[in-house]
This record gives sequence, C-alpha cells and structure tokens, in this order.
Amino acid sequence: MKKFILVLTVLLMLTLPVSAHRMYVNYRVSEIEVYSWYGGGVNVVNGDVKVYRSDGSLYVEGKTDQNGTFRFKPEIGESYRVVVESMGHRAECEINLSSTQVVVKEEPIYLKVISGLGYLLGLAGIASFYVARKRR
Amino acid sequence: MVHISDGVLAPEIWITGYVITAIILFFTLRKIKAEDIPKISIITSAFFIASLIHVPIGPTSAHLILNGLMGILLGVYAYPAVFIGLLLQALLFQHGGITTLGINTVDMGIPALIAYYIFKISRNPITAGIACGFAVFLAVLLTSIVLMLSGTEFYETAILLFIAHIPIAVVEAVVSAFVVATLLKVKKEVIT
Repeated sequence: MKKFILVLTVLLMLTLPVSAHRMYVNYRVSEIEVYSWYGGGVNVVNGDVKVYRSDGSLYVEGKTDQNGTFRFKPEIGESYRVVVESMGHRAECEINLSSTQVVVKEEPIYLKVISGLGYLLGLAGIASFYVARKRR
Repeated sequence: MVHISDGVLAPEIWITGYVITAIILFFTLRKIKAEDIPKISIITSAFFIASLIHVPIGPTSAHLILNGLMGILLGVYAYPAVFIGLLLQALLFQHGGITTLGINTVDMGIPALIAYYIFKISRNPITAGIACGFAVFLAVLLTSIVLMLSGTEFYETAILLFIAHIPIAVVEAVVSAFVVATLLKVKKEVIT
C-alpha cells in the first residue's frame, strides 16, 4: 500500500508539471497594410487614404506609396473602413479585426470584357426591336 | 482619369449631371434609325474596351478615351453611345460610378459632340486628329471643373490631369487621323 502511494505521488508529480506547462499560441495584428490599385493592375500612387473607425470618426490619414500601399497601427478589436481617393477615383474596403484575413479578389479582366460585349449586343437587339416597331 | 467615382461628388452636382444627360439623350435619340444601331453598338464596344488601355505617366496612369473619334463617327449619337459605354464600365470595371454616370457622360459626351462639329467644318484626317486631341483636353477640363465644384483644389488637379493626358491626346489624335484617313478612302459613307 505504501509502495502504491509512493508510485501514485511520483506519477502525479510527473503529470502535474506537464499540464501546468501547456502551450498557447495566439495572435494580434499590430500593423495593417492596405493596398490600392486601378482595374487592370496599375498601383494607385500618392492616393489619399482615410481610415475611419466603426463609429465613423477619422482614425488616421495619409498617402499611398509607390506600390500603392499604406500602413497603419490599428487598435485591437476595432473595425475600420478604409477609403482611398485619387483624382476623382474612389474605392473603399472594410477591415474587421475579429476575422483573420481580408481577401479581395478581382475577376479576370477578359471575362468582364466578354460580358460587357454581351450586354452591348443585347442592348443593340432591344434598341433595334424598339426602333423597328415604332416606325411601323 | 476622367471617370469620377461614387461618393466624390455632392448630390446636387451629380443630380444636375443626370438632368443635363437626360435632356441631351432625349434630343439625340429622337431621330434614331434602326440602320444606325449596329454601327453605334460597334463603336460603343470599342469605347468600352479602350478605357482598359492604360498609359503610365509619372505618378498616375491614364487610359484612352476615344470620345472624339466617337463624335466623328457617330455624330450626335455619340452621346447615347458614351452613356451606354460608361454604364457598362461602371458596372463591370468599376470605372466611374452609378451616381456619377450622368456627370461623367457630360464630361466625355459634350467634347464628343464638339469634336463632331469641328470635323464637320472640313472632313479630312487632319481636322479629325485636331478635333480628337481637343476632345480629350476638353473632357479633362470639364472633369477638373466638376471636381473643383466639389471642393478639390482646381489648379492642382487640373494641372496633374492635363499633364497626364498630353500623351493620351497625342495618341488619340494620331489614331483617329489614321482611322478617318482609312475610312475616307475605303468606306466614305460610314462617316456621317
């Protein structure tokens, strides 16, 4: 019995430290890099960047660099709205720090071109139909 | 860079743009004939795609506009063609915007009409080139004025836009002159 208690003690002593040293890994975002580009892939250089908090107040502002990027340090748990303007052009995106990644994907340009030509063909058809009917 | 995006302009400006565009559309579309529609569609598709041809200049990049050539080839129908082309560009390429569609059509369509009347004075490739180069600069000037009305510093924007569009105007003038020269030789009736 005495031997059993001794073994148990040793076992407990072995196991306790292990659970006490359980490892954790977590993350926090200390810097956000936003990038801005024109359709087709040209970077927006020297565009005015304004970052707004979720309540609409201005958090930080600046200009994009040569690569169309702009960096700022966010507050944890906030969500931001980033607005980039350059000579009459404007784009915006939402940054939500509760979700890990924000991925903006652009559709291939040739698909857009083809769909645009399709719309034009359709519009031409409708217009021809309308004009032909009106004349009759 | 002559497309103004959503959210840049004050509501009274873009609403005015829509009113002007609606009036001009009404007058230009009144006498449209069914035979004209294929030609209008083809030139609109060229205009729609031309905005994807970027020319990088200094800190910014500009793209072809082709509004002058549209005016020369389509006459008054250039205005509805610009409108449709810009609508598709706004929806598919996010060039410009839906609220600013009216004012963007004014900025690009009115120079197209003016290019048409310049070309009417004397129908030859050189006038066509001058008219097209002029149409680009006029579009830039109108865009700058609209942006100024919304509070952007006029001189800064206007000068940047003008510098950015010098190569565009030259390219468009040369391209249009050649297009018109070819069409005058090959298919004269296309030019209104």
